[in-house]
Order: sequence, then C-alpha cells, then structure tokens
Amino acid sequence: MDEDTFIKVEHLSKKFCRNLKKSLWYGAKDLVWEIAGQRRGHNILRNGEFWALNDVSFEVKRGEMLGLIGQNGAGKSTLLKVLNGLITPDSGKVTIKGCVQALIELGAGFSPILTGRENVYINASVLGISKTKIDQTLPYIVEFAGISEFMESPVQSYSSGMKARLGFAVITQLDPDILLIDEVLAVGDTAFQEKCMRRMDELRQSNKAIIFVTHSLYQVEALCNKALWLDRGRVVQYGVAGDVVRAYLDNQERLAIDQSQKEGKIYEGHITLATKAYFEKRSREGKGGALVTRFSNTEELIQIRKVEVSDGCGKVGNEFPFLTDLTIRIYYYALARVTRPLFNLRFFSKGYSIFEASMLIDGHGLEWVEGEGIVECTIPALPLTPKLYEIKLFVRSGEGICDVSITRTIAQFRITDDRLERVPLRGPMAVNHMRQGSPVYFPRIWKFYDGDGITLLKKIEAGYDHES
Amino acid sequence: MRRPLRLLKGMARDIIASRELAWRLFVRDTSIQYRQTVFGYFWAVFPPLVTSMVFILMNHSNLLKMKETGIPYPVYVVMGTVFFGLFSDSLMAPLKVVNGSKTMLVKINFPREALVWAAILQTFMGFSIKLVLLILTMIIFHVPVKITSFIVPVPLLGLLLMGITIGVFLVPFGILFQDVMYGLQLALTGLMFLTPVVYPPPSNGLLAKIVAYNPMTTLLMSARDFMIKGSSIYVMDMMIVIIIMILLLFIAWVIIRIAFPIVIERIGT
Repeated sequence: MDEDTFIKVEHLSKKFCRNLKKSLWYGAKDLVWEIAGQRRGHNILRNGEFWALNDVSFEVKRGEMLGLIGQNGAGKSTLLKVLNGLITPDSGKVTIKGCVQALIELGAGFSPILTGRENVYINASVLGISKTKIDQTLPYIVEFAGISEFMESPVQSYSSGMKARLGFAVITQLDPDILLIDEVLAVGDTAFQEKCMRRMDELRQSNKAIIFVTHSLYQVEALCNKALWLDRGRVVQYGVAGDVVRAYLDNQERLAIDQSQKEGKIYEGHITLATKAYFEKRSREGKGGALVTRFSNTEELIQIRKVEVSDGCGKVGNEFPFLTDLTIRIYYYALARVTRPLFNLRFFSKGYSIFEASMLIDGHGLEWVEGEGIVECTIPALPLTPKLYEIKLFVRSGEGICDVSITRTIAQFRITDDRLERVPLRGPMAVNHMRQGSPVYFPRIWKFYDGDGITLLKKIEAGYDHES
Repeated sequence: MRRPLRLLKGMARDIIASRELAWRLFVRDTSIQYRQTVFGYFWAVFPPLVTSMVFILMNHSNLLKMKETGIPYPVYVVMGTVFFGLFSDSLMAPLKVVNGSKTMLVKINFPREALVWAAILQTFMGFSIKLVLLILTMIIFHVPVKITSFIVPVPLLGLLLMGITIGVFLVPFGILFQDVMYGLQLALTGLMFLTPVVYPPPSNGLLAKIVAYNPMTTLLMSARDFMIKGSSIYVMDMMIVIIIMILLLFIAWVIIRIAFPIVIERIGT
C-alpha cells in the first residue's frame, strides 16, 4: 500500500436483512459460526437479505477528503460503520492506517438526566479523550458550544440544537488521522453549520484523511477532492468531486422529470391548495396584513417558485466568467399581503459568508406584495474569483424582524477563469492564485517608498479593465 | 477466531485502554440509577432486607422450621442473601450495562471491555452497601467473626467471577433477544432455592443432591464458614470452581469480542 494511503477499500460487500425476526435469527447463526471459527455462505443471500454494499472499492490518501453521495438507503452510513469497525464486512478487504474517529451522531449516548458537564466527560471518554485533556479544554468546549449557563442543567432540558452544539464542541477536541463524518452538519442553525464547515476545512488542511457523508452537493464540491456516488449499495461513479456531483445532479434532474411526467403534475411550489385558498380568502377580506406577525415556520408567507441566475447578456446558467454582471431573478408567490418585504441574498464560499446584497441595508422596494411577482438583483462586475459559490435567500417583513421566508440555498454557481485578464495578471502564480486564494477581488494600488518615506520609487495599480 | 494472535494483542490493548472509560460509565450509571429517587442508595439494601425478613418471619412463626445453623437464624439468612446478591447482581450487570449503552454501541467504536469493567464496579458498589446491612445484623445479634474472615474475599470473588462470566456469555444473545433478560430473572429466583441461601445444606433427599452438585453451594458455604466457623470443608472445591471460572471468563471475553460486530449490525441505529 502506498505510504500516503490511509484508507483502502477493495471489493467490499455487506448484506442486510429487512425482516427483524429473521435478521436476529441470522445474527445468532452467524455468531455461532464465527465463534466456531468458520464462515459459511457469506457470499450468498439468504431469504429476505439484500446487498447493502456491493463490490465497493476506493482509497483515500493523506490530506484528501472523500464525499459520499447518494439517496437515502444507498449504503453511505453502512459504509462508514464498516470503516469504523462497528460492523464486519461479509466480503472484501478494508485496510486502514492510523487512528480512526467517527462522528456518526453528535452527542451519541448523552444521558438526559445528567448535566451537560457530566455528559461532556462521558462523551469524551467514550471517544477516547482522557480526563486530563478534558479538564484543560473544558472552558474552550463550553465557549465553542456557547451554552455556558446551561452546563449544570440536565441535558433533557436542552433543545436539540444545544445538544448538537455540545456534541460538536467535544469532537473538536479529537485529533485522529482519519475522520468519518456522517451528516452531523445537518443539525443546528445556519451559524452553527457555518462554524462546522469551517472546522472541516481546517481539518482537511491539517493532512488528515476525511470521509464525509452529506446531502449537500455544494459541501461536497466545495470541500472534497473526490466523491463516491452510491446507489443501492453499488458504486455508480467515483472520481473528482466536481465531475461526480455534476453526473449525480444530471441523474437527479432526469429522475425528477421522469417522475413528474409519470404523475402528470404541474409544479405548484410548496403550498397545498387548501392553504392557498385559505390565504387568498383572507386577503380578499382584507385581513392579509395581520398574518405577517402570526407567521410560523411551517407556513412561509413568501414562497420561492423559481430562481434564475444569468450573466449580463441574460443567458441563464450556472457558470459565469469573471467580473460578469450577475443577475439573480427570483419568482415568488406571496400567500398573503406582505408589507415592505425585504429580500436578502447572502453569498457563500466554502461555508464562509463573504458578501451580502440586502434590502435590510438598501431599503425596501414595494409598499406591499401579494400573489405572484418577480424580484431581480443585479450585481455589476461581480468581483468574485474563480470558485464555486452558493447563494442563500431569506425574506424579512417590513419591520425587519420577522422572517416571511426562511433561509435557504437558492442557487449555486461557478465563476470560471474565463476573462480573468480583465484584471492585470502580472504575478508568477496569478491564475492559480486567483483560483485557489480568497474569493473577493478588489482594485488596489501598491507603492514602494524610499527609506525617507517620501520618495515614490514604484507604483503598481491593479483594477478592473486595465489597458493591457 | 481465524487470527488468534491479532485477537490477543487487541485484547491486551483494549483492556488497558478501557479503564478510564469504565470508571466514567460506572459513575454515569450510578448517578442515573439514584438521581431520580428519594431513597437513593437505600434501594441497594431493600431487596436483601425484604427477602431476609420474609424468611425470618416464617421461621419465627414455625411455618418453615430450619435445621440448626449454629448462629442466630437472622444472621444466617442476611448473610446468605447478601452473598447470593453479589452473584445475582454480577450476573445481571453486564447485560444491564450493555443495554444502557446501546445507543453508544451502535454509533461509536470504543473498547467494549469497558462495559464489563463498569459492570464489575457496579456490582462492587452495590455489594459494599449491602455489606453494611450484614455487619449491622451481626452486631445486633452479637455474632463474633473468626480470624479466617480475611480469606472471605476469595470465595466472594469467586461468586463475582461466576456471575460476571455467565453474564458475559449471555450478553451477545441478550442483545439480540430480550428473552435472555426475562429468562435470567426467572432462573435467579429458582437458583436461589437450589442454593443454601436461606437454609443450611440438607443431608438427604433430592434437594441434598442438587445442592451438593451446585457450584454456588461451594462458594457460598465457604464464605460463610470462613466468616463464622473458622474452617471450611469446601476449600478444595472452591479453588477448583474459581480456576474454572477464570478460564471460562477468558473464553467469554474472546467470544464477546468476536460477537459484538455481528450483533451490533442486527440492532441497527
């Protein structure tokens, strides 16, 4: 095995059973055979069994991050469990070099009746962190979790978000060579998720091998080098993250179109007809406005129907040249009359929020909206460097306090290195550095002075559309 | 099983690695057990106390007339139930600890030995509390202890070993099937009457034969004898039983190491 290969999986297969009673019975039989030192029929399916993993092969090297994608039940979690040694494969070979740590669930085994502090110690020690280390880092853990005033309360009084925070704070103390992460980022609020993403990026840069299960394709493309697409236990595609993600997206779109054709459905957004009728009736009676303050998470007053991202020439797509006039067109449907809606577009790169186009700053447009409508935001000469970006949208009501549409990712796009020469690229690593460095480009002026601080020796100007 | 050397190496490594975790699990389980109670640690004393009271009353009112035991009957019964309690607690403890950690077992790969250690610690804890009950009873009835009492820990350790060994053997099957837990509880009730816990060993009849072949008798009676008689006819038997138990415990340990991955996939998430 290669020196830098941390995980190598060859022709791995694992079978599961759908029926509980049968499964338990097979388990007992396997147990007896295994104790007798023999293996029987591990290559054939018994009645009611299926392959949860079927002939899976891949490898992960030092400093690499592999994203596992696929629909629910594709075998992603099973694969992590096999790699973690929780369950043994039925056939195939798994070679692992180094210390493995798995985050299959945050705060697994928290006892509801014990306090946060007690649970931190138990959780840490289950994960193999010594008491002395926890004693030292407890203040840091408490700070990361941000729940200091609850540390002495029983965990049963915590919200699920608080539990997740505490769980993640503990695992930030781990220092394994190989990290297996199973959708732990799916919990918690947006701020917490960003925190987790940043931590993952740090871990990847510290030369660990990471395997990461997620349903966010953006995260896979932004964080992972490679991706493995599983479907019903089989590898569909394995390779460079971007390629796999694109193939997976294509496939999903095809499936969705097939599905809607089969059902003969017309896309109606997320509203049921009954709710729509109710709100329409209320707004006809002039009661619509009152609903803004009675908003609950389950009924968003402004539904997003469709989002189009286009370049300066109006060409819709998801790949744009550098310094394009980016236009985001949002087709919405207001269930009731919403006064002075404030739209906010937040741009993300690798989990960091980098820029915001917000009506909370710029001010509202219309006095009120109701029913269908379109809002468009154009950012002239978008100064983002070639990378993958994500846009999240939330809509606030007039006073700016209440969300009428919760934060969600509405678009992902890529800036290509096309037309990069609109800025001067004089440096030795200009293009590569633009691609891999920070996301935002601002015009700047450099000056060299003599020791006296007055005599100007040299001036370099870098800005948009320089004369080349 | 196919690679015995690697198995042994792993066992040695994990038993060392699991000590701190075992202590944490023990502290956790003890805190959980008693935090939501009013009587707290007294709950460890109530079961042997109630059982003893029943037999003391029955004996006192001549419903059940026991043979001469050499010491006041209440002391005999309390001693029996406390010592038997050590066995029954250690028998149930491994499965209880494993069941209590199920959510962690399926999510985190930690040394499973810690669970067995935690079970042993828990049994010790319960036993120490019950021991107070025994000492109090002996003081009340003015029963002096013999110098040989210092040997008593040996048969007691035997009782603990026997309970833990059988308990560990049953863990894999106990995780799969709840039947094991129910069955154990039932079996313990029966076993208590096949062992001289509340009565002295009978000299004839079917029960006498069963009692004689019951390895529990050896351990229980030798513990009692060393405490109050000063000598025991069971010494040799006791040593044999203990050695067998140590060997069996090792085998049980190997088995659970092999069994855990197989069993865990069956109990899912």
